[in-house]
Amino acid sequence: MRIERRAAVLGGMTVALTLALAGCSAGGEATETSQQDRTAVSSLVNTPPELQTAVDQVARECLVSQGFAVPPIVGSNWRAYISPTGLTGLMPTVELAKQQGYTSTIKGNSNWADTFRATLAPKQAAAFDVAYAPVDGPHESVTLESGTQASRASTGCNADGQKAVYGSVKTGLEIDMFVNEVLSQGDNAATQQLVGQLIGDYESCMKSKGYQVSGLHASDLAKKEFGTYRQPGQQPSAAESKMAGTDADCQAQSGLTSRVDGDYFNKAASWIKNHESMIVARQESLNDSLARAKKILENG
Amino acid sequence: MSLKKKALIAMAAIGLSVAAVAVAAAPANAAGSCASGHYCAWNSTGYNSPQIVDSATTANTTVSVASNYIRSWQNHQSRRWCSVTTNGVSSTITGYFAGNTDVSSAGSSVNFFWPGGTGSC
Repeated sequence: MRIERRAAVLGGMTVALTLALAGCSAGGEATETSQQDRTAVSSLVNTPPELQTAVDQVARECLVSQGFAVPPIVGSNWRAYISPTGLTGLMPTVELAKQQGYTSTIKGNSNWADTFRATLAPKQAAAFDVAYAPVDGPHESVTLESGTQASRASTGCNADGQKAVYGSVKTGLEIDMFVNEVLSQGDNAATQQLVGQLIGDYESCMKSKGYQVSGLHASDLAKKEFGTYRQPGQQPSAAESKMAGTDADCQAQSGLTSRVDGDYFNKAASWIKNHESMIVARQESLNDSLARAKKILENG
Repeated sequence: MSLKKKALIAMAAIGLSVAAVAVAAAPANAAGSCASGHYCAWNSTGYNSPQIVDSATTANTTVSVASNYIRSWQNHQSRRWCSVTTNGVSSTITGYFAGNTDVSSAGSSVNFFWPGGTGSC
């Protein structure tokens, strides 16, 4: 199965990203990275939230079965768009921007396991650690292509969740760590320099639409204007949605959207080409994992 | 503008409580000894000193550190942590640190840490 067919299995986020990245190509950026490879990398960096939600569900059920009164998990594992450069505030499409709004208007979403652990007395917390993810127990290790060595507990309820969703702790680690492999191929200084060249046009565009922003920090203005008012996963208000859509449009008009990610894919072209088989394997694992996650969530 | 001021502006811009910033210049732990419920990062590989941060915060906040370079980390919390650099105009996430994970050899710059929880980290 080719990369693009695997990518097609993923959800709406990937569709949005595909459209965004297709827009980059249409903008005339010279690139050595195929559209299919761009989409594959972006889908692995922007993993579907269902994966972690399903891991959490299995882990919680495991903890409850061992006598820990963990309340039902509320909240969301939703995350904003992640650029392969790591640059925050980028909005790849107007449609996605309108749908997601700004993270600065979202109320804090504490992690369910950390929150529950914090309620326990020291002796209970120690028992929870052993049951959930023992620090001193056996670990599964992987060495990534960059030479990075990562490990994670292979016993405990979190490991059970990892195995149920990813098939193994090792696969979960590989997928979770992939984003760092992608970031390591970027050039932070060059990205910041490029943003510096384009930011004036972006700020002028936003000002002409009635939004006074400084730098790539419209989320700051959104927080001032709308407050921190919504739960994770809750849709933004019409006013916030309009501003985010304008933001994405100004980013596109100033060249931020296409040139920042486009510049990354030009720089990372050799790495992507040389690691295509690994990327294909990761994407296949991701698709298999997503199918298992959805089944777990459907069965509640 | 000083780097610290730029970092504070960036932290405000990403919607986090600057007032709640915890400057965590904890003493170095022995190699590989980040406690359960903590996030730790080191400037040396293999969890060796100098240690950059040892934080047990579960708040929706940022953790400010002096400009540094992460070469190993242990996240013994469940939420993801991120390392962020900023130049005032824009902010860049330089590393994503998955929950319940140890990495003995890494490489990312940092001006401040940003624990996950609001959808961007």
